[in-house]
Amino acid sequence: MHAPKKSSALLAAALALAVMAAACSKSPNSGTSDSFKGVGLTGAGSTFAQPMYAEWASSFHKVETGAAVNYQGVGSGGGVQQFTSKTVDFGATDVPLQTDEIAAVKSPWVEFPSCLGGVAVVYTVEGLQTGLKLDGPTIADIFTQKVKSWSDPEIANQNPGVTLPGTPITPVVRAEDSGTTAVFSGWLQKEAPSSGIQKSKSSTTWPSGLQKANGNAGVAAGVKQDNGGIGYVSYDFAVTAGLSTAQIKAPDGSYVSPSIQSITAAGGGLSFPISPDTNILDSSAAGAYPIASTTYVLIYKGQTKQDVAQTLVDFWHWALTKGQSETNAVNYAPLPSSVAQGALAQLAQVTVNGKQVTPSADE
Amino acid sequence: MIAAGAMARPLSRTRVSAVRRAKNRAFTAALWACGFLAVLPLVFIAAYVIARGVTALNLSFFTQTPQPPGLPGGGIEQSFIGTGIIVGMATLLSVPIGILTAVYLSEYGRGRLAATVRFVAEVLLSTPSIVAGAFIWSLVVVTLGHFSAIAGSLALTVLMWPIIARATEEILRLVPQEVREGGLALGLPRWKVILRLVVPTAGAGIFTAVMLAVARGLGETAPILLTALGNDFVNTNPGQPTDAVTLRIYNYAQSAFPGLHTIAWGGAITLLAAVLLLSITARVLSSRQQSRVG
Repeated sequence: MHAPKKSSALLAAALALAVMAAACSKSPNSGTSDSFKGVGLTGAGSTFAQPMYAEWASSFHKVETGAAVNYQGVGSGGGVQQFTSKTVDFGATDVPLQTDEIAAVKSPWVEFPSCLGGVAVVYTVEGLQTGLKLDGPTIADIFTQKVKSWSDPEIANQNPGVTLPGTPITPVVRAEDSGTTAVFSGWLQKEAPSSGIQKSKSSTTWPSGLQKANGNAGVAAGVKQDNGGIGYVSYDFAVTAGLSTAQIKAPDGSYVSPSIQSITAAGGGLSFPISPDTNILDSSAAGAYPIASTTYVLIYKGQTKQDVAQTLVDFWHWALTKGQSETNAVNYAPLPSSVAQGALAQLAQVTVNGKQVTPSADE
Repeated sequence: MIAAGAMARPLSRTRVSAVRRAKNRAFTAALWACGFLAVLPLVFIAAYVIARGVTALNLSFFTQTPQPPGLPGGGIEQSFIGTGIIVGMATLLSVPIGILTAVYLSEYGRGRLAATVRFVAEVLLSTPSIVAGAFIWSLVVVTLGHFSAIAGSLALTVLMWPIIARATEEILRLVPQEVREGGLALGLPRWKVILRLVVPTAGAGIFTAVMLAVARGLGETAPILLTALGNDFVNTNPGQPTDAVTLRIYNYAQSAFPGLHTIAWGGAITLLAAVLLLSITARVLSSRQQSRVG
């Protein structure tokens, strides 16, 4: 009868370990000032926004030492679902709430943009520099495989003086559902209605037979490996992966490279309130990158917990003001100041038990 | 022994034909090759995971929370603490449920009710784990209005207790009937026979069942994603969103930042090591148990 004692002792030890892991907690650093320290917040949604929100959460933790803004990128659809189910303090989505989603939201809410991004058309062709000029219809023809060679007249006509190799074109698209695909296919639908490309987050929007890859990383790798490869990735990823990006023809006829400045310029056309059709594609502003997108935050107007509401308003107020300068660190674009003001006006509508929440003064 | 000797005699006397010996060798070689092939994936997985993630393992990996994306350094301390809390609480919940169910099934269970309980446990055993997650999400997360470690533990409990219950029942059935009869003959009440004789005799086996269940809990991602959500900060409040190592691996594997991929591989090493350790402990204990009971 030795073994039973030993085993129960082992079991107890295992459980004790678990409890110890639970107990060796880190108390939040206590600041020296007696200002509001914030509490934990939970947000979920857009994977596109994850690096930006993680960056902001990390910086804001130093502003309000008790504020741990926990953001998890579960996807835009998941963000709307969790927001509707009221399981998170804020939701995040790359697509504005759609009509059917709005019908499911039970209480008044605010919806505002937090930062901007773009979809870059990336390629790898031996002997071809970055900055190839392409317009919407040409890109649509490339992804529907009507244009099959890099020396096709459709490309050559837009790039006088550039020696184009006769390499075959290998388009690479996203295999899984993706907000990047939704933005890119939405833009192509607008630019080339006759191409048959429909706005969709699914890869089914592309003709069958295209090379498919998972995630921005997969598309980037596919494009890099293949001489003649072309694909689309979010702008921040094109920068980190060091890929050649195409200049895209804007509505005014000029060709614009994706950059933080050109994406911010595209954001100038955003108007409030955000509606299901809101987008910043093909902005008419000078120097605006045509395939720009934004990401939205969803917060309920009528909050019930004082400290949660205060931290929520403090965090987003900080993100829309001081935080905007941190967008560059992760290659996202800041909102134009007029749009940031509009977003702040939305945030100001958040109340707790009927009283307006004003951001803490010491930020 | 006598039968085996009788069969061996003709073989030793008459020369076995060369063809038959060749066949024998060929099949032995084939069996060895199959056995080797079966072990190969584990060796490859372990070697690959270690090769990819070993550079991530340093002190800060275990003692720091994540850095903002793109910055070097940082760790996944909160994931280790979170996994400890979630799996620990799930173990505390599923051990009593599982063992008591097993005691009922093996010592008392007769007729339709016992058959139903056994059937339910078996169905739960083969339930996809994401279903358990979705169930607890709608039942606990939506009701309470937030994600939490408790919800994560409940989802794991749904998956863990049937493992403990079914394995423990089998172990309890292996306890010789004479042990029970002996206890009863000495005038012990039935509950005392079970508590003092039957369960302790099966002790190591029950511990093995618990270890297997814990290993399953450690490796689950989907039910935790839907219930504990994950957290970039250390959280020790069971009522708040909590991180887990599997969640980190899942999130970082999809990340755009190569540095995070390395951390994900590092997380995979620790998880692999923990599961291997539990499995080996369970093996050693169960072989001891077998040599004693057998």
